[in-house]
Amino acid sequence: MKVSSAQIATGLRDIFPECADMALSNETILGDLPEWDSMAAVNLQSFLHQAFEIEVPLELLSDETSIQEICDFLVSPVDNESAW
Amino acid sequence: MVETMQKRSDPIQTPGVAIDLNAAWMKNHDALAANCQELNRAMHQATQKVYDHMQASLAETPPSAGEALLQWIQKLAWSSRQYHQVLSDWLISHVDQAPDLTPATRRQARFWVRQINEMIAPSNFFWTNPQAVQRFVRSDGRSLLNGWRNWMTDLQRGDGLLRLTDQESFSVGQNVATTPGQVVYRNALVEVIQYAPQTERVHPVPVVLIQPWINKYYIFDLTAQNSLVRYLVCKGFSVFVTSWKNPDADMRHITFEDYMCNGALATIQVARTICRSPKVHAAGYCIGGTLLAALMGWLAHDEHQPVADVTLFATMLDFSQPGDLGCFLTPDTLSAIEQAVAAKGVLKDNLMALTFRMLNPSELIWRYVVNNYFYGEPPPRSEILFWNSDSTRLPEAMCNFYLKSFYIENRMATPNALKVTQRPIDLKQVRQPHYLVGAAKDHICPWQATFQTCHLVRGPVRYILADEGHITGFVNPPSPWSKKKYWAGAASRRRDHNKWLQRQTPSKGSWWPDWVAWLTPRSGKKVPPPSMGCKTYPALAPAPGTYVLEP
Repeated sequence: MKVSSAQIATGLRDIFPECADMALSNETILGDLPEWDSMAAVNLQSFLHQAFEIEVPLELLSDETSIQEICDFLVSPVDNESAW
Repeated sequence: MVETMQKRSDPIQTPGVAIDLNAAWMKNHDALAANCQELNRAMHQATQKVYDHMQASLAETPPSAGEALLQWIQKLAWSSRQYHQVLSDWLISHVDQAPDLTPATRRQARFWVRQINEMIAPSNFFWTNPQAVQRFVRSDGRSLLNGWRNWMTDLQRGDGLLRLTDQESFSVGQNVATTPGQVVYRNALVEVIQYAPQTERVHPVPVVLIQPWINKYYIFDLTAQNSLVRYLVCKGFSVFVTSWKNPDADMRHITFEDYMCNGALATIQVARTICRSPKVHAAGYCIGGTLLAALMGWLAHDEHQPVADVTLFATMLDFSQPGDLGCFLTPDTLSAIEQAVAAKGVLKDNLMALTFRMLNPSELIWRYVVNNYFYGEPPPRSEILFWNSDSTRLPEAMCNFYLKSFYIENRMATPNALKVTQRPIDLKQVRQPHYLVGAAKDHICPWQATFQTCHLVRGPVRYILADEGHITGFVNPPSPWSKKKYWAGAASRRRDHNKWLQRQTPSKGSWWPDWVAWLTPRSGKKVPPPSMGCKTYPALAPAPGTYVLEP
């Protein structure tokens, strides 16, 4: 599956209307978004599930996660249980 | 008389805080004038910025009338954000710089100013939210029509709350709370679930998880991907969990002591009997942790100790700095809550849910106003939000005791100030090792407050600070993709959380493996797993049991 950072940026602008003025690139990290916090991560997780039908683990969606890293996960998702 | 009427009509005292704030400034006219001039100057600067922005974009020619409207809306939103930022900053400084306010009043004023600032954010209004207008134009108005329907559905439900999550996507026992197990004990207050072993041999010392009864137990067992219960059984632990009954008015007389003796202590007894283990690892989350700590103080009077060690997740024992929740809990508000609870026999679930949502309004209120009503979308699919929306009620006696003894009088932090079944609770007599977990962005139990437990108990303490919130700091499974981090280190008898943190280095990933590494050497050599239930406590029903399904 091909995933572009532009697709993710569209979702971020939907969830975070306050970041409409921000330039979002592959290197943008989630902690840069206004109002980013752990519950915002839940919303982003939900958007990614709706848009790409892939369950992105909340553990990936932290302050330091870049848009590129989300794209990378969506291309090759890994099951958590395999890490246990 | 007037004061009494004011307290009755305004139990949370917002006008009172505003009056106090105003009175504080009126004592210092010069400072007030300078403060207002600062607002004037910042507004002027913002207007200049808006003017320049508008001038620069006048030359652009939009391709169509629809695009022209959207571009105009985007400019309007941009301008509104400039003014909103100025006003928000000024309101905060107006509170922070107010002379001679008591710390409590300043904290309350800051809380309500934050509520106002987040409420008046431009994105919360249709014409200053470009995404909302864009969806309206592109869907020929259907987005707003759907939003209207969502609003009507919320109103018809009558609980005063908006939906946080798509309730249809989850079902307890189907795709959340699915780890195999059996209810092995049931009384009028609690069901005890024993989880089936997943390994050929298990540690002889079981883990007992005491659940916060403000929501349902399955925060410990969400999905297969993030279930703490599943993780523990995969690591060779026998796990027992409390699943509390959701009380109704008939249970109004149930006390904190009942929760402790008939709930937590009963569960420990069940686990010890089935596993034939003299001791258990006991762990509690939030109010479940507070209950466990009280039990430990209560058990400290006895010679035999059924608990080997204690783990407290996001748990306050010293309530002197309870964060924003303290804004709702003053002697006056407690009196109003007591009256409301007396009328119903329980503290209603929607009142508690609204309170917790107000602690994080941008994420738990306004984001859903925009999504559900302006975008006309269904709320997101999230197991955490599903659990979060599955609130419970609190019985009158327990609720009043808990709020008064802990939030108002802070009795647990003072040796022997709290009495449970006539036994004074002195945490200094609790000598078991403690594993404490706080969350850096916790709005409900600030980690600074949870850290105070380090010096309240006598036993050795390992403290973990997870870099997340109250729920996401706890639901924290290991994952190769994890970007989470935590700080961990010895913290026995420490008081200064900042000094402790300065000496720690962050670790990447989940703290769950650290907890298992802490538990394992205390758990004995592995043995064949116990049966599911036993003669004294036979299996009664498959997990998730019946209490968790009760509305």
